[in-house]
Parts: sequence; C-alpha cells; structure tokens
Amino acid sequence: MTRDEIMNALLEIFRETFDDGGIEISRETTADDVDGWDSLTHIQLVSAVEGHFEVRFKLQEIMKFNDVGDLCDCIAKHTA
Amino acid sequence: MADDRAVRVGPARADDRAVRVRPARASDREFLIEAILEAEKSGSDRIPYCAIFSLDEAELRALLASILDEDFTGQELCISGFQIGEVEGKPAGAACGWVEGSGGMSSTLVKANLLQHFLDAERLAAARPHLERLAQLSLEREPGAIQLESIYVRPDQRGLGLTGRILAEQIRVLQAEAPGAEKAQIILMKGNDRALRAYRKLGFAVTRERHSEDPALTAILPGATKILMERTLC
Repeated sequence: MTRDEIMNALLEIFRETFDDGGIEISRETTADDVDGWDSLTHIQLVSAVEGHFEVRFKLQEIMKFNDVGDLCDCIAKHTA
Repeated sequence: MADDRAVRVGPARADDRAVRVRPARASDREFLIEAILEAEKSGSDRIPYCAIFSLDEAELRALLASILDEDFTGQELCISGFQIGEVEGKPAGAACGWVEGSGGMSSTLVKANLLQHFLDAERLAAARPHLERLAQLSLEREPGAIQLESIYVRPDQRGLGLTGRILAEQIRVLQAEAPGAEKAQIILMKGNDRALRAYRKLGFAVTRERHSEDPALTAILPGATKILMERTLC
C-alpha cells in the first residue's frame, strides 16, 4: 500500500471513530488537534486501525506515535 | 529502571531511625500492585478497574503485573515511576510520580495504549459504556505539572509521616528532571477524607471538582465526586 492509500483509509477510520464525517487529518495531526480524542476514542482508534490493516502493533511502536504520520509509517512498515 | 539509591528525608526523630525512601525496583512489583489496588479503592471496597474491564481481582493483578513489567514512564502503572517508603527494611508505602506529557504523549493516552495492548477485544468492547460514563468525572492533568498517583501507606505503618516523606522525595526527584515544573497535582475521590486531610497538611489545595449523579457510574466507583488538588512548587 502507498502512504496515500493508507492516509485515505485512516481518514475513513478517523471519521467513523470520532463520529464526525467532516474531520480532516494530515500527517501532522496530533491528539491535541482532534476534539474528543480521549482514552476511549484512542483505544477504539488503535483497535480499528489494527483490524482494518490486519496488523498488531508492538507496544514500543504505539508509544512512539506522536502524530498521524508516525501511525501511517508504521502501518506501511507492517503491510510492506 | 531506577537505581537503588536510598535517601533519608525529613527531620530525624527517635521513632524514625529505620525509615527510608528509595526508588522502586522490579522486586517491589507485588507491593506496588497492592499499592495500586488500595489506592484505586480509595478507602472503599470497590476496585474500579475490575468493574470497568470485567476482571476479577486475580485477573487484574495479572494485568497490572504485565503492565508494570513493561515499565512505560509517564503514567501511574510504571515501576520506575514509584518511590517506596520502607520501615525496618520492608516496603510500607509507595507513590508514583511523573511529569505530565514529558514523553510527548499525555498520561491518558499512554495508559490507553497499555490497556488496548493487554486487554482482549471483548473486554474492551464491554468497557466502552463505562469509559463513556467516566468522562463525566474527567479532570485534565496540566502538561508540565508533576503528577502524584497511587499514593498508599500500609494501615499498620500510618502515623509515621511516610506519605509526606515519599511525596517530598517524588517531588525532589521530578523537579530535578523538570526544573520548570511549577506545580504538583493529585487526583482523588472526594470521599477519601483521610487522604484529603493528609494532602492538605502537605500544602495541597482543592482546585477543581467533577461530580456525577449517574447511578451507573457511582455503582462502579468509590465515590461520586473526583477532585484535583494542587500545590505550587518553589
């Protein structure tokens, strides 16, 4: 998958998780930029991403996700 | 992991010759689980983690052991974030501390990552309505502020001033790491009067409260009101 394809899939996952069809994300988006990004939505988001891309992140990987770009790159690594 | 350096803090008294405060180490894990569970109970017999994630106490202990073994800093389930108060060479009290957001991620999200990783999908799905309700009592920790959590002293060792000694050492250590930290914060349930009195005596004051009348929420928590206490640091 290309990073653009991953970002497009992530956009749909974000819109569903945060129940906001108008949400926009970029590689620089962080938890501080998204209304309602709390512990519950974070758990739902990571679970949805793992389910969609059929990957299982290592803890050490998840803990380094500072923005959506980090998440995208990690997915790209797992799905290469 | 924290080193094994021990420090004596506070004025020496005739009855405190064998009291010391030191960083926690891996071999303290079982005592730290006791501390976390008792702090969670907040003076009641309810353990919110059990109700929220459909765990019995043995399962919760196993989960906490797995999380503590990972030792991810920046949240309260982390061995190297604890200071231990010892009396006569045995752990008698503990408290965890960290500087909020110092690793680039809020403690809430670090802990969410740990729970998402270690709990199965079924338990996480069952926890969802509880977590949604818990948001009613959410109190935001201030980025850059020192956080003190899972503060516990064994009942038979209370009255020695151990809480004050452990918290003083936590603040000293964390201020050395983050000299710009201007305040220390503690979040607790309002009904825990003994803890509230102890923290007031140590200079903490209540700055925020969140209350809920939701019976489904009060059924799983030790109280209906969460409070944030703060102390300005020199």
